[in-house]
Amino acid sequence: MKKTKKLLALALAAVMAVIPLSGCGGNSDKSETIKWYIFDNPNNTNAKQVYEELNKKIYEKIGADVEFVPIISGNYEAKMQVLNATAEQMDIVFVSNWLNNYYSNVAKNTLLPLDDLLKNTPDLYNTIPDYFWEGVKVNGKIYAVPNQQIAAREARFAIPEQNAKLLGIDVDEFMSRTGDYKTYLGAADEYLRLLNSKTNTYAKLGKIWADGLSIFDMEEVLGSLLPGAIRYSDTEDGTIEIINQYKSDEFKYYINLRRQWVEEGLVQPEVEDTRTLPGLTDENVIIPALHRVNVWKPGVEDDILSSEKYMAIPLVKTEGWLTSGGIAATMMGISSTSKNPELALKVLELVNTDKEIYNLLVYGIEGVNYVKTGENRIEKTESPVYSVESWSVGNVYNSYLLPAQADDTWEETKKINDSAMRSPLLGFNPTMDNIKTEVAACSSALSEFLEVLDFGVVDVETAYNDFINKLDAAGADKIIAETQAQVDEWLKTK
Amino acid sequence: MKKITLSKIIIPIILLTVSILCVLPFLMIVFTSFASEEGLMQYGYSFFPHLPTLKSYEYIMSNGTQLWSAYGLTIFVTVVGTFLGIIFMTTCAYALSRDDFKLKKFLSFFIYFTMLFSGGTVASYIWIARYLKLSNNIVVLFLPIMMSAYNIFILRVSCKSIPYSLIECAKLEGAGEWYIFVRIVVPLAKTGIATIALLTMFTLWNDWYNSMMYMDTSDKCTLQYYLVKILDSITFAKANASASGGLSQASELPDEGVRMAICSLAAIPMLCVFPFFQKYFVKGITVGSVKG
Repeated sequence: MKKTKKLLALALAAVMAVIPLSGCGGNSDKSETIKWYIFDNPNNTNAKQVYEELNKKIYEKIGADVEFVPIISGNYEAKMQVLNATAEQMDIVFVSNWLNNYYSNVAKNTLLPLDDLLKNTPDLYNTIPDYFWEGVKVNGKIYAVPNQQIAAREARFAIPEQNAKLLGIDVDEFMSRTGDYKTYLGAADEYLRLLNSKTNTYAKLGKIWADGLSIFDMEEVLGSLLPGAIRYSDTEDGTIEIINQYKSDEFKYYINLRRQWVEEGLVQPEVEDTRTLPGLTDENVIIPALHRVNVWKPGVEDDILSSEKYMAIPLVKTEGWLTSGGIAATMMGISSTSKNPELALKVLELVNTDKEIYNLLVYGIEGVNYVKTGENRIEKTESPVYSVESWSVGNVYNSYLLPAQADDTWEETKKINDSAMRSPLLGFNPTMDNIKTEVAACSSALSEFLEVLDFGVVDVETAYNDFINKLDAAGADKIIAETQAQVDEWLKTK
Repeated sequence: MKKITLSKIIIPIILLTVSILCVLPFLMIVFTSFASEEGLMQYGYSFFPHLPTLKSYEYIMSNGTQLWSAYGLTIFVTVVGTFLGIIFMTTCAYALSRDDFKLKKFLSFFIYFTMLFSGGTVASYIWIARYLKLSNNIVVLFLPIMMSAYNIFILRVSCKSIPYSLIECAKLEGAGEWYIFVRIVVPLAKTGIATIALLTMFTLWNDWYNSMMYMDTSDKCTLQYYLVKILDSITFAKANASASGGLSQASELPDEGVRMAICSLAAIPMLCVFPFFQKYFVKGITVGSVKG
């Protein structure tokens, strides 16, 4: 027994000796090292070399020593949660409304308000249009620097290019159709029926409802996994009414139509279509597919080509809206654990305004990772490989064009952003502190039902009633009421 | 002639079916790694790849510097981690199995406690990164996971099955504690040790979490983390390309065949190791089930 006590005391003493030693490592001096938690690309082979080069150039310009910490995007959220919880010293982090959530970061005080700091970096402030700044405000304060890119949200239906000719579709006529959601869904319906009559097989079609509400002239306020939306046509008189989009006529109309498509064999009867589509390699064969693009933008055809393996053309055109969600999709925040936020913001200013630094960060070293083929054009070399998603670090308008991109890609993107209609909710950012239980319960009800209804794989009658009952029980009305109250409050301050 | 009962036919058939069902997905991966991208596009997955090619493996041979360094690192971590883990766990388990060890109860509880309650991610992170300062140190890849409370208890039962009188005899003959441990206990607990070695080896070989959490440089990552990175990035790019509204990287990531080739290469070493341990495995796992 005595021995036990002695040993225990010894162990305790050892632990206590270690803790204070490492606990006082903090240093109040202004640090020149800026830790930037950047997206990693597992294919990069000379990232270290690029980071060194960047470091040298950034140091020459503003005297900051940037340490890049690469994390792959798939693990970014998990790692950030731990780093935030342990108050790790960080400077620049990626935040958005879909990864490392901006609003919950603001609620947890892990991001610094930048309003005052931005006065020292006028170039950064002026290079970004006011509507972008407006879109990132939470409670009237700016907590992140938006990365300029496509911010307007316009959903469209697109079809494989060769189908237009093979099916004899007059695309221009389709594109000129205007109206409401029934017109757009009607166009899709017409195409699917024509396709089915010629191919005798069902078409591959993804979800249409979730993340694509511009087709229905609506905007989700809290994301697709929570009730709460506005109908644009209702806001023309300046009032904003929050509705439950899952109880709307639009939703009911759509899920019934989708179910009908499934039952008639027009689209795939499963959530995921795992077929390898016929016709992908032969341009004289009809490809059984219809694609819903939720963010239409210049160059989107290449994205579809890489994911769907066919060249796509739009079938219908809907209205584009500039929303907070579109702007909050890609932003850089400065962590509240930063020891030198002024310098961190200077680094962001440099990346957003200096074309050379930005392209070094995005594409790597000239002559090693890419060769210039024109004033603003590059071609990547086979190896070594280096690239980082351009929207994850700064202003994409500054990035060099790749062979597949049109000369005016960025001018067009800018034009779409500038000319898109401003959502009446632009600048409104909800906080969910008071409705946490309801949010969790509604999310789980929606994860259970939304996908199967959106794909039409369950019987609508019974599933829809179950779904609405569950949503009501989960407190959907309370979420709507709370959001409405916040919107009313926000409208007063506007 | 032996009697052939129905169960003698049915049971092997069931077991055979289950084994085949287990093996098929892996075979599919291996075969896909030999398929060409065009073949995959046109005919989909198949056990008999259309237009078979070695292109995927050629790609890895020529471009896979990161893969090979990941391979080397994983082998190093697995070997060193298993070796150290076994030494610490066996010595610990042996001490706990001896009734004449005074701290036995207290330490057993101490270890058992960690099976019920753990500090969680945050506490582990603070301890490992902040206090032990092991971030970006190769040690972090095996130190936190090379020992497990569960394995110590399996080993303790193994050691306990050695009659205490044997140890007393050895003592009377003049053997010291270390001599007894190395020459008597270890050989007799061989089954248990081999089993635990295999389990530890699997844990270390398959671990990617520590690599993700503590290794900030992308050039030092383990094989599994390299795989996780590639697969995650692909699914992620696909799922979120629209949310982020930007160009996606998906098109630049290795194609299907290469991914399957990397997957096969990652699995093969463990498949080769397993047969050597198999004879101990069942015995080792069930060692605690019969209490004498």
